[in-house]
Amino acid sequence: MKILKRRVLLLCIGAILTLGLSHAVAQSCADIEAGGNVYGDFDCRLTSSCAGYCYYSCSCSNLLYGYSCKNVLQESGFELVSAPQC
Amino acid sequence: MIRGVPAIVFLYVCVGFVLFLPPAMAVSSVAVQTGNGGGFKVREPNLYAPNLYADNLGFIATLEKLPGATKKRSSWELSYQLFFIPEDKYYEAIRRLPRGGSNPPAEYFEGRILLAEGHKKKTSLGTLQERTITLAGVAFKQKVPDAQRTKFAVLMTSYSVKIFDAELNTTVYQSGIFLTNPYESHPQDQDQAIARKTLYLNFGVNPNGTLNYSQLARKISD
Repeated sequence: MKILKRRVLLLCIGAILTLGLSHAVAQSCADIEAGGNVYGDFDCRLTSSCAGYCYYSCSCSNLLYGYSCKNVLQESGFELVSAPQC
Repeated sequence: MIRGVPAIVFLYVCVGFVLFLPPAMAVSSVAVQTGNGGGFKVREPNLYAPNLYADNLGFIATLEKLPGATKKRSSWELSYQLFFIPEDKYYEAIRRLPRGGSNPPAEYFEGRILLAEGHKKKTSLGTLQERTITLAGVAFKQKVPDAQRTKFAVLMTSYSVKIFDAELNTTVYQSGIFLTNPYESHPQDQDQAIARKTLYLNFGVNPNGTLNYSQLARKISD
């Protein structure tokens, strides 16, 4: 029982440290988000950081025929918004 | 050793911390803005476009919000460098980056051309005018070799900022780069490209001590 309690305690400390660290990392935005997927390549530059959001302006290249930059970005998990919300 | 009840309470605190962590605290979201100077475009490599290069650039750095702006002990210190990066050099550098998010220093971009640099410390911050640093007449087009005047070349602002807010009794640090193209969209016609004439750098300290930062042109209403 003592060992189990000790393990639970260590697990909790680990969880808190992990969350704390990821919070610290999450506070700042990457200056560049670059990569590619099946639809093409993208290069996004940070324009603004506020309220926990990182806003980017992007350009795409090597697009798969019939697909747009929007497809590339959405496939890579970007949320398309009209302007910074703050 | 741990007693039963405290251990269980501690476990509850841990679970509660995970469950009720605010979303903005848990993850920084990425969004692509489609208006207000942002948006996405398809790049046509090495498109010669000397008409999209302004003869001179202006630089406006603003500390928009500072809770302790009127406090005497508040201060704002900014170091900046403005660079031009040829398009081919920029994309060579991008290809060397790992996929996903990166924070490369200015030195990472080979072939960059320094346009301007400066360092300023301000301690009188009561008005927006006092919290603005301006630089005019930065020679641009003449510093870029003609063959490198392509549409998708890059302007880079490298900055390092230190802000002390005497109201919050907090010092905020931030450094990084902002990248943009030599052109911008025409205000009345988003499809028309015109030479960019000004680079912006904006900061704002929130009441909770976090920092907003941006390279977008400030709204007139600010």
